[in-house]
Parts: sequence; C-alpha cells; structure tokens
Amino acid sequence: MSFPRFAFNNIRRNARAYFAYFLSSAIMVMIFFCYAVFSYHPDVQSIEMGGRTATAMQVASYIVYIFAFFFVLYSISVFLKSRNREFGILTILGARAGQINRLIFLENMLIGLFAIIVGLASGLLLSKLFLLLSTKIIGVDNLPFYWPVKAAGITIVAFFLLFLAISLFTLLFIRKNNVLELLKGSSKPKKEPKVSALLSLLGIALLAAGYLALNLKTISSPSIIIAAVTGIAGTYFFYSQLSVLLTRLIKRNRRLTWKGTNLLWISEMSYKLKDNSRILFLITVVTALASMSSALVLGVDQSNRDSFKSNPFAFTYTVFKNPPGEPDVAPIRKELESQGVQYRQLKVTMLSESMLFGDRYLVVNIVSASQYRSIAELLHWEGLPELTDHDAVMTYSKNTEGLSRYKVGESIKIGSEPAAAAFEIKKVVQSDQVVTGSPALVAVNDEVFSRLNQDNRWLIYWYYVPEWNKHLPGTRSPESIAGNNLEKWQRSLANGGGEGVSAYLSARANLYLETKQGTSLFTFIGVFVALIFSLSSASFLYFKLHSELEEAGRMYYALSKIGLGVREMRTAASRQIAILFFVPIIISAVQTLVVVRPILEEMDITRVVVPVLLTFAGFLAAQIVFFLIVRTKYVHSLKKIMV
Amino acid sequence: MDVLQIKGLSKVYNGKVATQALTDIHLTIQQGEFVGIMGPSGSGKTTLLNMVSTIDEPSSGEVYINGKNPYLMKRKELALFRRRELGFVFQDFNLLDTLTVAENIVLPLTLDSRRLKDMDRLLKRVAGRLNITDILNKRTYEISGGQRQRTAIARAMITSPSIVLADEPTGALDSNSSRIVMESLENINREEGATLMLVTHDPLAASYCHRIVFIKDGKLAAEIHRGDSRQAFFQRIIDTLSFWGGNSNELSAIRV
Repeated sequence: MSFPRFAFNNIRRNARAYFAYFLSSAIMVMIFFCYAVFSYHPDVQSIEMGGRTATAMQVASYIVYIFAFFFVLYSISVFLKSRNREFGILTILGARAGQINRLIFLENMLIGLFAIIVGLASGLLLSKLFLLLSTKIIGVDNLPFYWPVKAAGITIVAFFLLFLAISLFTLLFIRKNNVLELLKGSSKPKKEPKVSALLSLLGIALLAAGYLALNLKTISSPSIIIAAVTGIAGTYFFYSQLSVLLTRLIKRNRRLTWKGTNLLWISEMSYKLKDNSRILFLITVVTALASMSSALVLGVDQSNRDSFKSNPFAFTYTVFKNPPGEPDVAPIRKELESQGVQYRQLKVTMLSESMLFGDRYLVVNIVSASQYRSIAELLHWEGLPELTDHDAVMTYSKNTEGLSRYKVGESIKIGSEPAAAAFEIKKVVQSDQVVTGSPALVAVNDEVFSRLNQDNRWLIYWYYVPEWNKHLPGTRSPESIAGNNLEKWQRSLANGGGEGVSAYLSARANLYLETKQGTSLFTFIGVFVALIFSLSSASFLYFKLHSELEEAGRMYYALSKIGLGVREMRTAASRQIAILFFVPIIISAVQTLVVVRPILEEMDITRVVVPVLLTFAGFLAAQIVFFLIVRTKYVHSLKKIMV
Repeated sequence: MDVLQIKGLSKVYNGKVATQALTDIHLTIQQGEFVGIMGPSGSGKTTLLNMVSTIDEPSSGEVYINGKNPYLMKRKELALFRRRELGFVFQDFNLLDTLTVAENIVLPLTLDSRRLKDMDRLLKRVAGRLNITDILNKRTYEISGGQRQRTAIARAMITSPSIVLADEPTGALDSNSSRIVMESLENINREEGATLMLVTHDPLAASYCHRIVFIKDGKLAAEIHRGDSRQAFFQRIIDTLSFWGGNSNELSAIRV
C-alpha cells in the first residue's frame, strides 16, 4: 500500500471523524463562491446599485476568507489533538516524523480538495437562488444565471492556497509532543480550570469601562474605539475567567448543584467554557458585530418607515417668494390626475418667526386660524376654539421631547423685540405628523396673522392622496412613478431658471425609497455574513463536541452502569450543549443593546429595542435549529454507547 | 435470604464464529456473603458479572436479584434498579475528574434528588467507614489509587445496595493499596453486612472472600470455602488455580 493510498484510506475509513471538519470547510468554500459569482457577474456592473453592491460583496468575501482561515486552522488543531493516539502508535511502529508529517499533509490536502469540489458544486446550485434573492432584495431585475468561470477560478486558487498554507502550518502543532504523551492522548485527567482574581477584576473593569465610554458623554469616534477595544478584551476575560468564577460560585450552592443531573453538567461547565473560551469569544464578538450592524441598519430602516408614515402628504411643494405670488402647480395636478387617484391640495401660507418661550428663543412656523382649521379638518385633528387677539394654539410632535412642555395658560412672545407680540397658550395639541414642523406649529387669529411680520412668509402646497397613505410604496408603485416624473419636471424648471430657483418639491416616496435601497443592500450583505458566521460557529461547536464524544462516551458508559438513565443523560448533555450554543448569543444580544442604543440615539432614532430584538430573534432562531440538530446527533451517539 | 439467584444461565455470542461464553451456570449468593469469582482469562468471569450487572442479556436462564428479574424491566426502570439495588466497583475506578471526591460519592443520591441533609449524613457515615473523610474536598487526580478505589467503594455503598459488584478492584493498584482496598471491602462486609461479589485474578485479593467459585471455559469448575485462617485459604486458592490448569502467568495480579 503506497503512502498516499494510506492517507486516502485513513480518511475513507474514518469518515465520521473527518466529516464535520470537511463539511464546515465545504460550506466556507460554497459561501465564498456564491459571493464571487455575484460580484463577477457580467451584468452587475451595469445596474445602478450594482457597482456598490459588488464592492460590498467583495468585502464580505474577504471577511469570509479571513474567517475561513482561522476557522480551518483552529479546527484542524483540535482535530489533530484528538488523533494523538494514532500518531503515537505510528511512531512506536517506527514511522519517522517526516512520514507522519507527510501523512497529515496529504490528508489535509485531500480533505481540502474534496471540500473545494463539493463547495463549488453546491455553490453552483445555490448561486442561482442567491442571484434571484439578491436581485429581489436590492430591487433590480433578475440577473440571469451564467457559467461563473472567473469566480470558480478565484475560489479554487484562493482555497487551494488556504489549505496548502494550513496544511504546512499544522505541521508545527505536532512536533513537540513525545511518544508517551501522544499515546496517552486526552486520557490524562484534566486539571481544574484556574481562575485569577486579578484577571477577573480586570475583565469586569474592562466591561464597565466600555459601558461607561458609550454612556457617559456624547459619542465621538474615540469613545467608540475605546468601547470596542475594552468591550472585546472584556468579553475575552468573561469567557476565560469570569465564566469559570461564576460556575464555581454556583457550585458553592449545594442545594442547587446537588440535585438531579445538575451535579454532572454544572461541574463540567467550567471545563467546557474554559476549553472553548477562545471559540466562544470569537463567536460572541462576531455575532455581536453582525447583529450590531444589522440592528443599526434595521434602526435606520425603521426610522425611514416612520418618517414616511408620519408624513401624510405625498408631495410637498414649498415656494419661497416674497411677497408670495401664485406659482404654477398645474404640472403636479396633471401628474396626479394622470395617475387616476383622488387627491386634495392644501395651500397654506406660513410664517417663520422667532418665539420666546420661557427663557429660550425658538424658530416656529405660524399659520392663521382659518388655515389651521383646514389642516385640522383634513388630518382629523381636534378642532380649534375661537381665538382672541392674544390667544395661540401650539401643535407639536412628541419627538421634540425637550420642547414639549407647553402648558395652557403660559405666555409666549412672537417676533423680535421691541415689536414682539405677547400671546397666551389657549390649547396644546400633540400630533406625530411632520406638518407640525419643529419645534411647534403655532396658530393665531387671522387678523393677528395678517398684522405679523410681512417678511419670512412662504407658501406651502400639500398634496393629500388618501389611497397612497395605506401602504409603503415599492419601486413600481404609482406614488414613486409620479414622484420620479415630478422630480424630472422640477429639474427642468431649475435648469430653465425662473420659479424653480425659489420653489422646492419634495416627494416622500422618493426620499423613502432612496434610503431603503441603501439599507436593504446592507441588510442583504449583513444577513449573509451573519448567516455564515452562525453556520460556521455552529458547525465548529458540533465539530468540537464530536471530537470530545469519545471521552464523553466513556463517562456516560460508566455512569450508565451505575444507574444513569437515558433521560438523565439527555438532560445533562442538552443543557451543556445549550449553554455552549446560547450563551454567546445572549451575551452578544446584551452587548448589541448596550452599544447600539446610544449610537442610534445619537442619530435621533429612539426605537432601538425592536430592531435589536429582531436581529437577536433571527440569530436565536438559526441557533435553535443548529442546536436541535447537534443535540439530536450527540444524544443519539451517546445513547448507543449507554447500556 | 438469597440476594442473588442465577439459574441455568447460558450466554452465546453470535458472530461469524458463535462463542459459547457461559454454559448452565447456577449460583446463589445470600445476604451478607462475600463471594469471589475466579478463573483464567477468557473463562467467562466478566460475562457472568455483566449478566449480574444487568448490562448484558443472557441467552437462556434466569437472574434474580432480590427476587426480581431485571431483564423484564424497561430501560428506565432498569436504570433506577441499578442505581438503587446494585453497587459497582471497577478496575479503573470510573470516577469523574470534574468532581471532587465528595461529589463523586453523592452522585447516585443527587440523581435521585435526595434531601441535602440526608446526603450529608450518608456521606459522612460512608466516608468515615472507608477512612476518606480527610480527602473529601480533593479532586480525583490529587489522590492515590487506593484512595480512588475507596472513593469508588463509597460511591457504590452510599445507596445501601442489595449487592456490591466488584470487577478486579485491585487490578490497577500496588500491593499496599490493594491490601487497604480489600480490607475496606472486608470491613463493609463485616460491619455493614453488605453483600459482595468480587471478580478477580488476584489470589491475595480473593483470599478475603468467604467463598470462591471457579469458572473455566464458561462452566463452574470448583467452589472452596474459607476457614478461619486467611493464610491457609490463600494457599488453597493457589492450589485450586494450578489444579484447574491455569498457567502460572495467569496468576498475575494484573489483568492485561
């Protein structure tokens, strides 16, 4: 039997042991390939968003590549450790170190080649789906399937180099052990994990520092960097020190630990957490980064939708002209009529003026009572009482929280001294609709309004289309088509000089869709990157558990002899696996919440809990699926061992 | 009262070559007895022990432990039965490295979710009996082989099982540790009235028993009873072993 033949047989006959390692490598190849297929697609460059998307995809594939490198490297070191006995036997039989190295090298390259072949084949199948999905999400027409020769070439070369580098790298791992140690392998009793009080304190201090950096003062880029560094370092200490400390504290409570199977799994937990601290740390950080970015994107998306919904008017045409004349709005009306929808036009004269409220000067928009009534009627606001010359009604949005303390009976002053006029607040209305402007819309008696400052007046034309307020618009919805047409019209006006210079049309659908395209691109990439990470981390954990299966099997075999039932084994094993799978997710969710809230608040997005929970729920759902698969396989193998 | 009753027990391992491991074994062990099973390698000692341990099913014949036939039980019932009625002592201890000595001992009780006070009381008693009170908070890798085996005996004893099954308990120990372990077993047999079944290669270990059953090629070959003198009993064991055709290397204290 030739030596390569020996290596090949080794893999073929020990397929189960190699399988997890092989599978995760193949998945890495597959995902990298999918990204490459998309970013080298001949049609991608010609799409409007395509260029940017392709670049982002390329960045994502670099991340996959880097992650794949560490992943494969780390799994191979674990894998080799579990095979120490085999190497010991070979050494005793007289194999030279060089021969064993050659064996390992050949095995690795064989697995790598298989992984590349399988990854490419499954990637080819998946990429059709991927292209379909990516175009749908980004909102362009279908990209046709093509033979991705270039993408395949790049994938093959990249991963061949990766496996080559890693196969050479792993040879460093085995040199130092002597035969006896190799033969004994992992059967040496494990020492109790050590914990250092100093490092634990350092870990707590780092986490606290990260938290304070984000919450003490306003956010700047140095404080984000400080928070990132301390947070990441603190997370590492959390797993290597604090987790062990915590399990030890839990073990102190004998009432809890000396009960049922708790003794079994809790005592083993500190070992498992410490053993896997590096990988758990990696998973936590990566998950946290992925969910932070998705939460940020979701947060922006949410606020985008909110601002669409809070604007009841499809089009707002603002005319700055002093004195305001009658602009030509016929093209807008014509466009709306050609779309065949019911609409109402509301023309309002606004006055921007400074207002003294308490000891602060604010710039507010003022309307006359009669015009206010027409707005109120259209938007179903509360009606307006009769206003005397000194009465004012304040309408504000609840987003302007700091300023929302207007109270009935208080006095305000409008205009600059000495010509300021004093008013008393007669009524306060709260509405979330953007009409209010910031910080408030003030309504005064018609006569008073006509007497106020003649400068700073402007006209606003609102177009209210009830039918378009029901749904968010898509790229092909009538609202956005009309918006596009009107924007063209406005550009032509601006080019022709004249009225367009001092008039501005804003179409809410266009604003909404522009932001939405940006966020959906990032969501798309973020989701896929996150998916890879959670997939590969799950396959890694499975792989790790699998490599420890023999040891666990020995333990459960002995325990089953002294009367441990299958159900108790399932409970203990499930809890252990659950902790390994879910602790990183929970920790990263907490981190995400801590980090994302202040950043989004800085961006004036206050509703952060929903996007964070949404991202978290996505990760959790994926992780639950992986957990159930891994647990079932693990428990099944143990069940066979038990008597 | 009969704690263990074996009637017409046979075991055939079916494979490409069927092996008759045990043929028509009859054996009864009474409450408080200390019985040794001896025989050369491959004689079927371990198979017999596995049948009694309820981890391997007989091909024919019956096993009754405390009048109950464990092979009629469901898997879950059987686990409970093993936990409560049987105590096990293994050659390689089978202690968990992740637990302290005390935790290893109380493990069977925690699985039954007994009250903490009861567990503490039982732990104190059994640890005192086996003289391991000082090392209760140590880890298994911090103690000697003899201490480990006594920990394993304590774990087997703490549930007050009907019968303790010891499989080569001295197999991995030096002579001094062996002596201490065997004295501990003798002690719990005498003081606590525990019923013990010991499978061993080691004549010296076997000489602590009341009665020794010899098996050869899956059949009962001989049975000898101990008189007053352990020294004389030891000599008879050696004689019997050599008579039943063992080679001298099969008398080795360590089973390979």
